[in-house]
Amino acid sequence: MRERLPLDRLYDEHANALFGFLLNLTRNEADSRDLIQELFLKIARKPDLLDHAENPKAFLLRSVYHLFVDLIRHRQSRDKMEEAVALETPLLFENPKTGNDLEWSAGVSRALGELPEDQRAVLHLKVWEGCTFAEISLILSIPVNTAASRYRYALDKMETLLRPVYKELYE
Amino acid sequence: MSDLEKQLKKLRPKAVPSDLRRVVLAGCEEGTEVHSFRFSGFSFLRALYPGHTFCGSLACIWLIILALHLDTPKSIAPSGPPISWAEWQEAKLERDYLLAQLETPRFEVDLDKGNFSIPREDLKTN
Repeated sequence: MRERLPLDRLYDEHANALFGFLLNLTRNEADSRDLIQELFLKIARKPDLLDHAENPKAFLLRSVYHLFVDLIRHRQSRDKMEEAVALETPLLFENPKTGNDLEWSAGVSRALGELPEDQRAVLHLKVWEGCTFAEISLILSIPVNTAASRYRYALDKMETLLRPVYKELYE
Repeated sequence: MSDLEKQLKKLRPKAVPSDLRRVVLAGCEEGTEVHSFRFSGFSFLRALYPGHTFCGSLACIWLIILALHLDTPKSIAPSGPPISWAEWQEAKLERDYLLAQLETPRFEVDLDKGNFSIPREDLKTN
């Protein structure tokens, strides 16, 4: 059994990764905050949740992904309008210093919004969390091959969407 | 790794807002103290009496309370505001009084003859 980390240390170690992942999925800061709060509240009530997790980061990412799926199901049955509003203006990345990079960052944020959620989740975990396909398969409860193919589809679509933006900005 | 992947990797996902740490940790502390109120039924009772095994009987009490709660009308009118137990009792007394009044004949109607008469005691009081 792993040594149990205090909640504040757990937060400090993983909150950034969880927030970035959730923000990419929900595309809404308030929802991302709520889901992080919900996850940590669950852990506070059941501190033994993480005791047998081999990879705490993967476990936490998996947990917030499940919370996100629950949220989407709830929204779909309750209020589609709210969801549509939430998808409008995402700010997914730290502001770069130059104007071109700022445009690029905005373009990538927009393009990510065009991807289906399952592809977006795989892309985020692979590119920004550096997860292997095996880890992604564990986090999203999908086969490794599915994770790999979703990644390939996501990259292809991003390339199509971003090629004009990249040409305009950097070539 | 493709050029696109390299370009994407250069971007840094937005960091978690600095105020969220305090909110989350305070929420966890508060949440674990009062978490019994977030539950209902068995969970609620288990939270109130941790370690006890008499959840069955406690659940019965809970169900009785729930049944009483459901049995209590929330308003006189279907869409009216909730009323207190005392108000409900008062309204019930008033209703019983009115029903009793209705059941007491005030007029004696003779349908065959097409006329009616006022009872003698009413003539005395009015």
